[in-house]
Amino acid sequence: MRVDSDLEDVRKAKSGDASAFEDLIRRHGRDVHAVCRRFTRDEHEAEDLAQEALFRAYRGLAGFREDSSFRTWLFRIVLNVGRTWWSTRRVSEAPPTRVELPSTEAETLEAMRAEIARLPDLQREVLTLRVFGGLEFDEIAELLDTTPGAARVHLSLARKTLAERLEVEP
Amino acid sequence: MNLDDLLLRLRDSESVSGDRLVAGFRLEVLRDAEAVDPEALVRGFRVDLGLERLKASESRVPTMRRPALRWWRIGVAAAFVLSFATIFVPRPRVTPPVPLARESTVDELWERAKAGDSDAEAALRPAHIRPEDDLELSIRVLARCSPPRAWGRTGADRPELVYRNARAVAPAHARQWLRANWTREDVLEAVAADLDETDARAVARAFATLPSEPAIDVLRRHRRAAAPEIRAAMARDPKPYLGLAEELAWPELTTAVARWLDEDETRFAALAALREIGDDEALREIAARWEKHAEDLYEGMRSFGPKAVGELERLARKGSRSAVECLGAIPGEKSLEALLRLAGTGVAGRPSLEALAKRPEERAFEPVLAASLGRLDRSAAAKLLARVDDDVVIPALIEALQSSRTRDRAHRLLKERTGNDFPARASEWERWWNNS
Repeated sequence: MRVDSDLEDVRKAKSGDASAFEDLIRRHGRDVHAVCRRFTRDEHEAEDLAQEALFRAYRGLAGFREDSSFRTWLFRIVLNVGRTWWSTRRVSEAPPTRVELPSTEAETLEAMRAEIARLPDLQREVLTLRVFGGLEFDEIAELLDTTPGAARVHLSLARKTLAERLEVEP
Repeated sequence: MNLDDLLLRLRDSESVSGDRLVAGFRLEVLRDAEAVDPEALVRGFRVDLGLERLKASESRVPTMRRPALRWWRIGVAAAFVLSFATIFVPRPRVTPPVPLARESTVDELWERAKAGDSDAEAALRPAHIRPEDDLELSIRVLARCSPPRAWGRTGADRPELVYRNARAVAPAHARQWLRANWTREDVLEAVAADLDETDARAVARAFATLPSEPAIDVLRRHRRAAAPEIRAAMARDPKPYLGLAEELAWPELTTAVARWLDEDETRFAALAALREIGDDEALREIAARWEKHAEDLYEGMRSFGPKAVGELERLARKGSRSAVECLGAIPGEKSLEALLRLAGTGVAGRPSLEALAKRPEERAFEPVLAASLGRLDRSAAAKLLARVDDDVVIPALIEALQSSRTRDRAHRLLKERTGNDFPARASEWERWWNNS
């Protein structure tokens, strides 16, 4: 069970075992990075942001009261760090408006990045946490202070918008 | 290509390895550790001093000779590079944010802290505590720097001491620890005397999972504060609260228990519990289920004795033959009177007479029969008397002659029974009866 091993590692890390926290990073780091990537404009920023979030989690581990799963707690930090990053950079680095239909795969993916960035905040965050963070809807609801049903609706809206703008099948 | 494929490709294209993130994390930890390392600060300070001197020297360049200035610059630059290198060259292993002291150091720290060294005490961490050696010191360390779960180690052995000491030192932690642990009977037992009303309410919530004497003691003492929680828990499962609720005479107790009567598995336990409660409400609850479960409830109802007569008579008047049988099985005047009343009714007449006919040996039968004679329906009386031996009927009828209310009827019945015509006086009948 992932939750059990998480708790075991969290407890070890709290007692000073940094390698236990590294195991947690190996387990969740990719999802953290994938979510961070949605708050940033390039790979380097995403790695910086992921490191910041992970390190913040490490420093704040003593404050983790284990009343939620470690994963939910970690992604709360990721969200906070990501939102701050997003709010300080978005104004000066406004995403492109309408993206021309791409021809190569690289362009397609770039267009998709841009379109995700243009989504309304809540839709973008639900999509990010679900698709890139791999979180369950109840975890997303807890993180975004909404209900699992509402989270599903936002994901559906986000997907619909993306499919329309990119002219692909939903 | 559909949207899901695109999203997956996007995710895969941006993926990084866990090891890469771990490596970055190690670097972050290292930087952080260096950032607060006092020696590094001192080194940095020296570097700053060097730069300041360099600036100062540059301002004095015209007064210095060129070779001296060059060597000065080389020296300062070398010092700067060395200092910089010692700060940023990675160390072989990652340092945790709160480094644990080595075992030997812990021993020293512990002894010094015990001797009253506040610096040593401040350096101790929850992992270092030795409650068996110095509980007070352990508690102080815990209270200073640990989340409540760290209390477990100490609390496992000495919950009462942890609690009492900790409340003074770190009440929030103590309370939190306690709440996490008071499903343990020993914890509750140890701290029951000290719990306040706020704690008692939480105990009440925990009580549903741990019905124990200490918990009951807590709830009994704080029954007013904990009442809402007890009632809510009782609504879910009344069993643990029977004694307490009975003691507190809570009216909803009976209703809560009575719900068990509806379940096959719990019916007999509920009957026993209601028998313990033993009030009219308990009887009403049983009676309300009589029609469905009369067979199961029969013995329970009978065990109420004369108290059950009223409800049974009511059921009998509704046509319940089993209620009449149950009445017949309850000894005493009250059930006899009820049967006599029922004997005149259409629905329960016959079974009531049958039940009465089985009880002439009973001491109360004669007086009850005599007293009831005036009210007894004529045909019912005839039927009853036909079923009962003279040894019982005649004394009863003679007794009935004593009362003006029953005299005429008793006289007539005596004549019918014996075929003799005697004056309507009990004494004469008595003499006749004794001589015949």
